[in-house]
Amino acid sequence: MRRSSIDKHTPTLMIIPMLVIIVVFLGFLVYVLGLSVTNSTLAKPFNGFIGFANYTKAFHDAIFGQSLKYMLIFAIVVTFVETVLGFLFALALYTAVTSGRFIRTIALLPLFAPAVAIGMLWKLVYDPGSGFLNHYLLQLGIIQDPIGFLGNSKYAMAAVMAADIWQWTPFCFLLCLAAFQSLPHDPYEAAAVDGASGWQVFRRLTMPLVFPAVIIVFLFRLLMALKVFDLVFMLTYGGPGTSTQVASFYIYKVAFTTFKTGYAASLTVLTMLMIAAIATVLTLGRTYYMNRTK
Amino acid sequence: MASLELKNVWKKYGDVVACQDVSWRCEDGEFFSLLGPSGCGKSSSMRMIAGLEEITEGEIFFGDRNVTKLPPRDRNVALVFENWALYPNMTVYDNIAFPLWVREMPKDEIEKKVQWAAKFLDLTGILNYNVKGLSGGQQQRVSIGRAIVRQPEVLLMDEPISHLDASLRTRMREELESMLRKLGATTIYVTHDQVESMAMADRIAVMDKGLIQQIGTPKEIYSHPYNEFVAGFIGEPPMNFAKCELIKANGSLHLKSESFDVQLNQVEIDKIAKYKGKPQVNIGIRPEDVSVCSASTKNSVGVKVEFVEVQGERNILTLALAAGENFLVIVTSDIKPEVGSSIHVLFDQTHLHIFEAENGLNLTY
Amino acid sequence: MAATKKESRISGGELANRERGRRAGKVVQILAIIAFSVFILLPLIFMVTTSIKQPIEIRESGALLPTRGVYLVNWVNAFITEPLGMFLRNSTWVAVISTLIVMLIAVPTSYSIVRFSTGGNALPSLILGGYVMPPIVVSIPIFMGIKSLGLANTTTGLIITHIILNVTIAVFLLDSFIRTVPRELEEAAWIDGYSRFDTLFKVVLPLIRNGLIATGIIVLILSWNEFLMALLLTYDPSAQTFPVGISRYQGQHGLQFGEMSAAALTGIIPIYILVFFFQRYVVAGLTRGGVKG
Repeated sequence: MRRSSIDKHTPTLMIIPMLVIIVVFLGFLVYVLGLSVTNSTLAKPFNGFIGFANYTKAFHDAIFGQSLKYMLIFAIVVTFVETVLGFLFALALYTAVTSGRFIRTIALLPLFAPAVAIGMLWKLVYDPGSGFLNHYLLQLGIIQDPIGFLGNSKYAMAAVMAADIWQWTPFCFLLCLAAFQSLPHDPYEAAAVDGASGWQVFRRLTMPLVFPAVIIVFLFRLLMALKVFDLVFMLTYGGPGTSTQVASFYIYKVAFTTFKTGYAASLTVLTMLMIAAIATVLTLGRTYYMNRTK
Repeated sequence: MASLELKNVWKKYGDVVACQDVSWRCEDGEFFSLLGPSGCGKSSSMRMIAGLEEITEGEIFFGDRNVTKLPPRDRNVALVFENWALYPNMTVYDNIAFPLWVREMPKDEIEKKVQWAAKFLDLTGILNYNVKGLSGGQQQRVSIGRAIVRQPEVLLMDEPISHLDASLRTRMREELESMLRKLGATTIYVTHDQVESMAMADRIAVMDKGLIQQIGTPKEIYSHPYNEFVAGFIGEPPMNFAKCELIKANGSLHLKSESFDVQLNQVEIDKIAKYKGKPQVNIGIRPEDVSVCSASTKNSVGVKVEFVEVQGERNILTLALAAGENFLVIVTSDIKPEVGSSIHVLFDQTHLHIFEAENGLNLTY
Repeated sequence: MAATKKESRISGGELANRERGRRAGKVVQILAIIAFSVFILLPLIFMVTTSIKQPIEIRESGALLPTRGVYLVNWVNAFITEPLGMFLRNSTWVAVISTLIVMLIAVPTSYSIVRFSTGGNALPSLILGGYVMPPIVVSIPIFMGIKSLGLANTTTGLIITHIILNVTIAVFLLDSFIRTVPRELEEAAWIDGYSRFDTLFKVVLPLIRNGLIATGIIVLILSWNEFLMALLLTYDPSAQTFPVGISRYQGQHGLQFGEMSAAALTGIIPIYILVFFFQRYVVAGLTRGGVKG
């Protein structure tokens, strides 16, 4: 029959296009690795093998170290805030069936605007003259003079974080909401009959059931937050100075403004290693936690 | 423990009426069953007793207490849910201990009570297991454990064994019965399985379409069903029915149809003496109250044998009456007529029920 | 009866709320809804109002509402200052085409992984790895690669890039949807004589229609919003996409917030319309992929 002859190979056939992509991906990784051990520039790639010289340079590069630090701080802070806020909103709203569609739609809005547009939006919001943040702070008498949030190295990072929090809290909210809505119905009735108060139910029943999902939300979002680029580009371009220069941005600058692709490649490899390490630690930690509570 | 009474309870979901003017009383320590097909209102009644549903109209009393407006936690009821509703993230111990923990009982007291419940239900071995991995029977026992551990005034059970395999169900039924007798709690047992009800309950309330059809002991309901619904619902194999008319002939009353002409004896005539309605009636008679006889016997009915089911010490004959009705008759195992043959049967008039065709009421009640 | 019964059934949260007093719970909810809505909508509304404010007013104050009347010229200027129309056209083209091709690749791949475990454990891990990687990592190789193919500054180059970037996410999302189809259905199809391909297209796909839509929409939006590679690979408007176009407004002409807001909105509004109509699917896709981990 026609079926059996093709069928055996169908599974493999099906993933051939994907394999091509994977090969391309791996090719990229090899390419980057290769670049990192050579003296390459944008115009002249693979200009000469120099061993680990780029890596040594990276280890001594204080700005790179700083950019890694900023990447971590940024990711951890925003993820934490977004997860907590998202969780609180979901907790407050998951029983509100009637406004469900409305809430879900507006929750999606910050998520689906291009990060550059959001960057531009917040640039506007933070602007000393034209932005409403300064406008209303002044009006309410909280400050005397307008603050240039983005131009002030003390506030810039926080400002970028705030913009990211605005964009991604709804995402965490939606995921936490889904977790709440997938709670089983019956045990809650049993708890009511057993006489449990709202707080008791929450502490003993709800929290243990949603907490694993919340952890996943946190990890998921953390891995995404480590990649931040668009927002930084639009809002501060890494500045003022280097106060918002996260790792991905620094690499961009090295590769595409100073054109030192070899060095950039080594930075890329190091950053990737760090992210991989974090991801591994977190996944292992989560597995350990899940097994411990069995 | 206390008595439980529903007074004129109505439950409406918008325009849909789930319970119509339901009233009944169950005494302290009684095993009372709510029985009926799905949608009859038994689950709604139970949920209203527990406080999980609001009562549209009417009142509920636990003993002297009017609990109509009280939330579940103030009623001191325990409910064994149909799907057990165990707390999924907790162990067996925690599930059973939960209601006690809620009441902030000291730890050692909780320990004592949980151990007692566990022993009672043979759960001591799995107390530390998470409930997720347990079998159906085990989960059900945990659910019961959680219910009995705090000695509630009223114990409600909502179809607790309907989700178990058939063989397990029979075993659990027996265990449950002895268990509940030992406990001595006022128990309301909701089920759609009349075998369960009949076997376990002190009294049964049969419901259909939101209305109470009849309340009585199993024996009463079995032998003296109030209407056609109850008659047909109770009993396995179910009661036989046939349409006919009440006719006065030759100075006596006859039940006459295409299939038969039965002259009523005096006892029966006395029973329906006051009846002045239409002559259209349905008769009902249980398979065990029909016997095989000879053609010459008075009031015998001619039938054709459709099917013979051999069941060991007895046989069940499926017989076709002249007008096409099928009757089931239980006979001793030596009676084994040929399929297709014509025989005669006799209705035992002491157990013959006559139902008014229009409203199904039992005239011989 | 079942439907109405559900409405009357008391949810866990409501039972808990009942304890505190129904009113208190409702108040908290309403406050939360208001807070949530304000939190999200305030900046967006500001963007809209800025786009219709006169430039003088924008420079003067950051008040929320325009006080000097509605000024729609910003919107017109948005298209003049920069070739916004071209940006939008390019974005549409790149997004649609790359999404279609991504789906064509991802669907069989995902199906193959789920049903036949092709690639064992290595493949899903690789795919997950692809998803976790920051775009900056592959930016250099992709840049060099596209350039060497002579596709720099072309929409085709961008399409290829987006396909590479997004296909892993698509596989990841589709995975959880395909898993919802019971194996027995497919086995029945095989017994009936369907080939593997037929089973996929005639049995499985119709069942996960929602998942397909959700994934497609998410990929489409990812492509529409993609910035880094579009920035690197294009240098003039002929191939530049909407996000890159937006970034241009700030470079060349000083910060004309009015025009920029209007320009940004022209790219955001179509997305929002899409989201509004397909909200149900999108949320399903996000939450499936996310929470299941």
